[in-house]
Amino acid sequence: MLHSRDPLAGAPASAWLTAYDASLTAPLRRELRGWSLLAVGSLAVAGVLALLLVMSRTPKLQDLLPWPWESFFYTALVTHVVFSFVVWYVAFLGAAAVLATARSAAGRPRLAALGPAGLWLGVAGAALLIGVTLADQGEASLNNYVPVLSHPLYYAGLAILGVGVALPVVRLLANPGRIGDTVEFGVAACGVAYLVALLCFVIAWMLLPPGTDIAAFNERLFWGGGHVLQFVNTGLMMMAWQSLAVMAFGEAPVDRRLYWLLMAGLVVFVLPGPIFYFTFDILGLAHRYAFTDLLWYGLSLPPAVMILGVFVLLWRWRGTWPWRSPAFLGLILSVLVFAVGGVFGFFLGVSDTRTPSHYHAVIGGVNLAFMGLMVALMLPVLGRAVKTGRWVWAQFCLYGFGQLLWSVGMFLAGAAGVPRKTAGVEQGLDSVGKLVSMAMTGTGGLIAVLGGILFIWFALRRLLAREAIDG
Amino acid sequence: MADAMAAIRGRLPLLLTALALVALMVGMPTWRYDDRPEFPRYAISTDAFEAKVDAMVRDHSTGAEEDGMPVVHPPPGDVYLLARRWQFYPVLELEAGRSYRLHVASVDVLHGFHVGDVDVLLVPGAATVVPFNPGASDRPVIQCSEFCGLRHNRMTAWVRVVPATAAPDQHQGAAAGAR
Ligand SMILES: [Cu+2]
Repeated sequence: MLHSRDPLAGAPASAWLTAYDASLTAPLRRELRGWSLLAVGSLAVAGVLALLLVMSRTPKLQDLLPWPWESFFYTALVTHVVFSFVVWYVAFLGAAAVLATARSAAGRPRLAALGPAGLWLGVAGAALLIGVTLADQGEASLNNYVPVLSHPLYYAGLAILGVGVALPVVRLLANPGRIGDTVEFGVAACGVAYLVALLCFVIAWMLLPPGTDIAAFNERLFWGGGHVLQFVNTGLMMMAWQSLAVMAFGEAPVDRRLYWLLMAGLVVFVLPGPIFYFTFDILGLAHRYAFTDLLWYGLSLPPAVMILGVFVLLWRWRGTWPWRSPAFLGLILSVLVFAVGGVFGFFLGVSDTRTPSHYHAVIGGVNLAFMGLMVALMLPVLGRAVKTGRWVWAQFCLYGFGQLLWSVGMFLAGAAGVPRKTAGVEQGLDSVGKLVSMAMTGTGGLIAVLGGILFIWFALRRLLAREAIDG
Repeated sequence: MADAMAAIRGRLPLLLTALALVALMVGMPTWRYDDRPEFPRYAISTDAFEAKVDAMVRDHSTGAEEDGMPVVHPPPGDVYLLARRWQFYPVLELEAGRSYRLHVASVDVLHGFHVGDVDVLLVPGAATVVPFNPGASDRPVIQCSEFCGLRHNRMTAWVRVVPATAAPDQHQGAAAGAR
């Protein structure tokens, strides 16, 4: 039944698309479009902020900005990270939750009103974040996971966004789907992990003593929940891999029981998170290590098993890879980039220069999986499919290989000269290595940005169009 | 519907994965945060600690400067290093093969002291004593490991390691005797 190689080549003919098409009622369709818009739109916002970042560092151009550019650089940087790393991911979870609910409730969910309410809150939260940024309010804090502008309205924006995404998640859990279904069970598992992350944020907020220095406050407020959110992102990526593989090959990387076990494993591993707050001092060292270890122990095996499955699958279908299918491109590039990032992760030090190479590759892998599912499933289901062809191919390859180049270059730069400040005999050799790695990161970054722009352009144009028309 | 076919299927992979997951979970109580070395700590007043650092800088400065900070060559034994936004002060020049006890303390906010395998949280109001024995080929780098604000990433200090002087080492003997 699922052997159509490229389900998006013509009308959405695959069993997946027909099934979703049938269960997506008009209100759910509006919600899915809304969350997809928020997700892709947040990448566009992050892109515009990146442009402002460059402007604020360029002589002459910086004078054109209506803000004092020295401080605005950090303000823009914070919100750039928040939109590309937080809003895009949680909005994607919102979209995935709507999709899963459509099927699990056959288009008629209990607690239906939670959907639109959540979407409006999500949009309001994101708007608040943009507002505080443009008003240049609050001091920039580049703490881990969720950097913030230290202004009450910014925290409020994050909280409103967080609750907004929680509502469709709660509705999905109130309309439990089939336990063997890739999307329904996968998204529900990620949803539970997401609620655990929110719980961690709330507990941290309550436990942090008043008068804590703002840097430590922000760092420890987002440390635990931030780690748990990585389980959500990774789980959604695994759900995307399993789905994309079926769309591209009609075959999944791992069977239904193994998939269930891996997803359940992710959830079980985040459950100790909220407990850590009561067993370890929130401002202590053990608290920090407890969550780092949670990630190391809980987040290595499940994606590794999935990657193995994808490799076996790719090997079995070698010679017949559908190079034009966005599902295939998203899958193979995501797995490749994520796997490289995973390997880099084993070299991590405390604040080694190799650290960014790991983070960026892992994030790039997640992004590719989400982009893949957006182009291969969400847009077609909405009747807004991107025409498959050279441009989609270029978009995925540019983003994927750009990320890969950037991360490898960054890793080499780190490996070449970690704690080496005073130059020794090796200086000459050092600078050659540095030049090569700098060229790699420079080109890679540029190529990846081009791919990202193409994705935003394709997806946003389709999503914003008044009428649902494919192509 | 997706699972009619799968690259990895059957009972064996399922069993192996389940076992591995259980092993990782059962391993929880033995996670490394339980067996991190604890270093002795004592309460300080910021002023008194700063006075000790200043005295060390005054008595043992090499005259050199790095990043606007004095380079200090203290004798083996007790060495005082203070952490503040966003530097470790002063720059230390230590002799290879000698034993030092670094007294490290933050004088403003929460910082981290990370060098090699050592990672200590610097809570204002307390000093931590970390044994430090640099080898000849070491170029130890001290990094702040706890986010402390805008320039946290730049809060890094290189320890200069120089060959041991030929002079008899009274300080080390005295320090060892005092313990
Ligand atoms: Cu610090």
